[in-house]
Amino acid sequence: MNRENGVPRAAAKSPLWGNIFRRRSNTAEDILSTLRQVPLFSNMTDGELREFEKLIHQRQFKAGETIFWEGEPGVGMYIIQHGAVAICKHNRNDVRETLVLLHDGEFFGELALLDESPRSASAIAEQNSQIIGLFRPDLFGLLERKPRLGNKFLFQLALIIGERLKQTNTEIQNLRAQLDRTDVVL
Amino acid sequence: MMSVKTAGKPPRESRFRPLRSSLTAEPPVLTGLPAADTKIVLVLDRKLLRRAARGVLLLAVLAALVWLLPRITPVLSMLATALLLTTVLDPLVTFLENRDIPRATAVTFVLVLSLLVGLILIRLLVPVISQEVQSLSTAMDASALDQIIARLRGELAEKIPLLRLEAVDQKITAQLQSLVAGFMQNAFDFMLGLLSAAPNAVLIAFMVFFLLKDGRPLKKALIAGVPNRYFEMALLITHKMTEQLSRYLQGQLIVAAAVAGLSVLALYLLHVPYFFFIGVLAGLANVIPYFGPIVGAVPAIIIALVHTGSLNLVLAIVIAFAAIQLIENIFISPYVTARSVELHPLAIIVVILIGGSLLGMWGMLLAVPVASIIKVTAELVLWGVKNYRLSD
Repeated sequence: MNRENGVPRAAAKSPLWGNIFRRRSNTAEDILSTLRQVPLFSNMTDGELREFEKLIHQRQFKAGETIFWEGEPGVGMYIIQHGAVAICKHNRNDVRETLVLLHDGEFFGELALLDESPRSASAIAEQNSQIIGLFRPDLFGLLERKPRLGNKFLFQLALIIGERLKQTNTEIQNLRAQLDRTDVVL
Repeated sequence: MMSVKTAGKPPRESRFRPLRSSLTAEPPVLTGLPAADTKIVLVLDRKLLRRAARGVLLLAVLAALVWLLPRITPVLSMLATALLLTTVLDPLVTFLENRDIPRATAVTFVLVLSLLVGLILIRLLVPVISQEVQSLSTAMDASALDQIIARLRGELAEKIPLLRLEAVDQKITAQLQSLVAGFMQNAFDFMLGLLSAAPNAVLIAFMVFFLLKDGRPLKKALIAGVPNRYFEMALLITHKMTEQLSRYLQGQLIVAAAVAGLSVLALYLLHVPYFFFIGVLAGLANVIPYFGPIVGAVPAIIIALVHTGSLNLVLAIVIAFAAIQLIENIFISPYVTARSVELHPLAIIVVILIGGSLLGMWGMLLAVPVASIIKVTAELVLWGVKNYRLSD
């Protein structure tokens, strides 16, 4: 039989049937494969990921373009599909200091999913980058419509934030120990 | 996950890009005026040109909008009605979706249910209201009015013997006749407006279906066109605006329905004729803050006066409307309306006058919600401009 990807060829050519039998777009597939790499979505099924894919905004940034500025109200988190993003702060002399450079599959700004407090650092594209964003209004909408899925995501977010808090505590303890030793030397 | 991959300070960079030097770059030169020893050189900065082009484009778009708007008003009013209904019905769809019903099914169910409720309401209410309006208009012809005025004059002369009515009699008759005629005309126009909207109902239902089902992807597609620099601000403003306006419109609808219900009940208990028509009108008028309750009570008082001539009934109506306002202000409004969209009374007077002069009774009813939408939008845009860095 004359078929193309399991769809009759005549149907695939017709604007109506072609549209109905259309396979998922490359953009959607790209977003899904990016989401699968991110720890925040590690416990999600494909169906659940597709729900998130509907909420995701895909953006292109040129090298040197600002994604958000420090101090602006936070709206949501970003995941890098392709490219590199510098997380930086401006010091007293307004000179930019890069805190961290992020690459494909890494995410930033996730705390803005919880509240509107000002961004603690700026994010600037270091190369031409393709970035996807998940934003608080959409997440809150999901929590209203599909609370089980929304809670599953929030639980994972809480786990990651908790893990970071533990790491920060360990670093503080190490620093305090170093400081105590310095005092002794002094 | 995040990891530090670079260290060290990047070279100092300036936030300000150096301006293109008009001396080093070869400038486009426009020469046209023949002069022997004077050479006029016009340097056209590319940035300036781009700005000018943008300004001209904006002006052209504005001019096109001004030209187009009056021509597409019916379509816009249908779209506005559809958006209003979408805002009201969306919480119901979300409620069903929350219970694991697919959105398309939930939308179909809610829409079919609303159409059924709408049809039942129209079937029940339109005959009653049109009968009331017709009977009211026959009762209000000139001879009947003369009789009513004569009866009122007699009653007033009896109660206040010192009042000399002969001198102002002509004036009162003329004023009352024009008032009643104006009111009736407006009421008829309003009813006709409602009835003439019926053929569009199918189109509006289609619009509501697609807005409810595909509203989110549509919004996402629209916002995708916003440049990166304004993207986060636009996203947040759109969300806040939708949220505030939905709450405001849902609140207004609940308050209007509650006031209409209470007014119909109170007027029915007081045996005021045409209680249903006046009650519904009072509910709709309640959308207008401060003045709505008065506008709602006036027709009831006029009808009570001309029909029974009893000042006691007028007093009872005033008390009933005051009580309804009290109930609305204490028990209903605080729980359902968004306070953030409150307008200054002076602004309300101005927008109602503008609305009335543009679209008559519909304009007066829509003036405050439309002004609220403009106020919320302006406030949020200002907030965005203040909180977001919109330039490099």
